Amino acid sequence: MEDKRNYEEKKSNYEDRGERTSSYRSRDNNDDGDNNNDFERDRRMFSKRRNCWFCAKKTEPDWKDPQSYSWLVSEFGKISARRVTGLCAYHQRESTKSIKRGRHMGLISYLSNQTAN
Amino acid sequence: MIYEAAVVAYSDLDKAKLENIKNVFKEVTGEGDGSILHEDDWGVKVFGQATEKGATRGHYLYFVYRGATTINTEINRRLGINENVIKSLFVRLGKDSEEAKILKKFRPISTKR
Repeated sequence: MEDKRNYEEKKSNYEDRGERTSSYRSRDNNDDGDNNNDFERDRRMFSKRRNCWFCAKKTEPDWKDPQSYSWLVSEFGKISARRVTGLCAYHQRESTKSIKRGRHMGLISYLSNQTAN
Repeated sequence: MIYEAAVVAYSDLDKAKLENIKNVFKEVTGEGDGSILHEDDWGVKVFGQATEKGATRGHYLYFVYRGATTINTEINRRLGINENVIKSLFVRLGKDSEEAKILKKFRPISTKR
């Protein structure tokens, strides 16, 4: 209820000033009062997401082929998060599995993104 | 069930010792009413990271075979005893009925690159 009340209140504030209200959503109560920041935050959160690389190429990550997943590992050996890689949930799961199998078999390092050759 | 297995042996082994490792798969699958569907030798590769014991390279062998789960237990046991083996990995690919589908999808690693 409180969220809804905040939303209505802020919406009316925007309308009073003649500003655009269609993209505004109230998600939290820690409003800093700066409208420009709100719009900037909305723009980042609702910006169009990239398509999954594996879906686009119609390939699958394979633990036997380190080139297929080495780009998902950072230079310190950490597996990149889905919000960074832009993969779909299925391919993120599969590539994580492949990376872990590859590490076990020595095809990719635990500490860096160096692959076997 | 259809499984794939990869074995990493020491890089300086002679042919006879590598053949021993291959025979483990042939013997055990033969005894357990299974069969080897595909066998591959990837050759010597430099590891992405050196092993705990300091090995920096290894000879990779790869197998796709069909058989019961007990086959894996026996192969794993024999590879564990073998001093020439550094690492091994077993992955289930699917059921027996999916053999055609799996083999159709399968590409040897040498043709992929």
